[in-house]
Amino acid sequence: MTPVVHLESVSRTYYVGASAVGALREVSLQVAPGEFVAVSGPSGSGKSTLLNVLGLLDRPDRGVYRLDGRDTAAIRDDELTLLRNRKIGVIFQNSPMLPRLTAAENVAVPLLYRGRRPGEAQVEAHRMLARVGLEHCADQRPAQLSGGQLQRVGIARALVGQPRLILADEPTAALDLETSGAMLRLIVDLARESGAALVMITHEPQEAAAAQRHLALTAGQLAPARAALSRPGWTGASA
Amino acid sequence: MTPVLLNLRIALGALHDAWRRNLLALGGLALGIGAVVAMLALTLIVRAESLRQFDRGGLDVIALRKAAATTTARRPPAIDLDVVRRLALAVPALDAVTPVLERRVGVGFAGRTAQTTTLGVSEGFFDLNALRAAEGRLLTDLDENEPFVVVGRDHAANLRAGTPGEPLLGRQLTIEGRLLTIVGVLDAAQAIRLHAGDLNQSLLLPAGTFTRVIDGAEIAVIYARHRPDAAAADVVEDASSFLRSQVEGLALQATSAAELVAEMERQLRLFALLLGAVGSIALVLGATGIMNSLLLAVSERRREIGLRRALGALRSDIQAQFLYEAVILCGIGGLLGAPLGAALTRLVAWHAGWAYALPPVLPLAGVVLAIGTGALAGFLPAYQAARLRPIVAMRLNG
Repeated sequence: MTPVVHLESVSRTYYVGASAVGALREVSLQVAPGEFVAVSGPSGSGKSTLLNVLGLLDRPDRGVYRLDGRDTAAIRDDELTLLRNRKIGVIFQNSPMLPRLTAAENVAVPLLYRGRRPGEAQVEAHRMLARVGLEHCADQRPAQLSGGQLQRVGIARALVGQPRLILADEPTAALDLETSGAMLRLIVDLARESGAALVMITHEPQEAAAAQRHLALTAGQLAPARAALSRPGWTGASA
Repeated sequence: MTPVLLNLRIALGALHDAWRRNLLALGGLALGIGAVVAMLALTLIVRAESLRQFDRGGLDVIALRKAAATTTARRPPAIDLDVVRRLALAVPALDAVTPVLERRVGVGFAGRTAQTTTLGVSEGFFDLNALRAAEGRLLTDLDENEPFVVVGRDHAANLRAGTPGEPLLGRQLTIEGRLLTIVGVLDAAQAIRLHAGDLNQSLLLPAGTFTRVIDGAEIAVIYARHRPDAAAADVVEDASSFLRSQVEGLALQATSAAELVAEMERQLRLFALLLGAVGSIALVLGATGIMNSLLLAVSERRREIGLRRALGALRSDIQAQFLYEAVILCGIGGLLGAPLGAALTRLVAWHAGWAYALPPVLPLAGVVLAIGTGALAGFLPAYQAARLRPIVAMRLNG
């Protein structure tokens, strides 16, 4: 089976003045469809860079990145945008929204840019909001929603286009314990339903423990992490 | 909502959110468009106003003016009235020839005396200036040496001394102690462009009478109309040659209405260029305000732009959205500026006593110009926004 993510010796270096900072160093990773991989690591270890590269928001300096079997190296910017739109769903930390659109319209945005008919996109957006339990908030603006509700809208937006790869950047960081557990279950369940690969950046050992693989990123290098400790009171997600 | 409508909706929302800042930029542009519309309209009005003066007498009018003496020792020789009469015969291309003698003299009427501009003319003068009688009649060549006078409209009002409707026809006034009978009152008159005086304030006498009544009166200028098929320059040359042959040492300055029109057109073109430049500067300033406002918006909305790019917006979507903002903003500026320009034009025209006219194409052109300016002013912000990488959406998280 073709892996959704195939990273092979990928490096990304940033230059701060005259000094080079190796954000990713010879990173190799394969993620199969339906697989849930958690990535953790200290600040500055390269987690965001890894997510940017996986999300086609940044390009590696060296190495190979194949997304769903397609080499992304030679793809032009607009085509990369279309590929990102069709294949990837990103759950951002703090779920940034377009403030002038309603929740349903925010969820429909990826479908509209994909060229779906507006009516169809709205139906899909409402269906997805219902899946995350927010159908009643469909016509509300982001400013009218709580942090937890925004995060649910963000999840709905990331998954509405049935992406092959779901990237989650600390999706529960701003939530309380109970809400974050429910949120993780929601993400994992929806990813499993759609058969998408899920790569999640997390600092929470309990969340990482729910993953099929837990990787640690240290100084730009990826390696299997030690077994996570379970946190009292958190039931964990099914993996 | 298609991507185009989505981009448009985001553009409208963004304009609404930053309405205070946009209002300032909009005001600048509206003033610029208003200035351009007013400048163009006023140029047209001034041109029409000037041409109207020529239209009264036509473009086939020439003026032969006696030049000042070349030396201070000698007075310029006088032109005899008889020479003027023979001029029309000598130059067949001419008709409606009239001498003009002019002097400011004391005029007595009903026990009062006032200094008045008095003209000695022939029948052709009334034809050239398209004058009409409001009361009585005009002078004809049959009145050549008769003691008759035609009074300008405003001067007639002075003679009536605040008693409107008081009969003037048949009454007598005195010039230099000679009695003259009023045979007509002019309707409101505007002299041809070649004649500088105000006919409404003047008295008009037959040229022959003028030379008899006023000592030392001399012909200052000869006006004539030439046939339309004759070239003005040729007619001027022929007439000047004839007059010089009849009056020894005569120096003449010839002017034709066609020359004046050509000169006026040249001046108006310069005037239009100057006004256009002033209007353009105002427009550039307005456009700069719009561009600055949008550049600031791009800077403020980097996260939103990055997010949209991350969700699948192409560079062209982002570029289009900012161009929409610029064009909508400038379009509104144009819609405000066009009536502003019309109002400014009306105000200036009213103040100057010109007939107000605004071709509908001008406000429309103002709006189109504003939209074009918007496209130009929005280009750089739109380009910058489109060049933003979607990674900023991630970088600015939290």
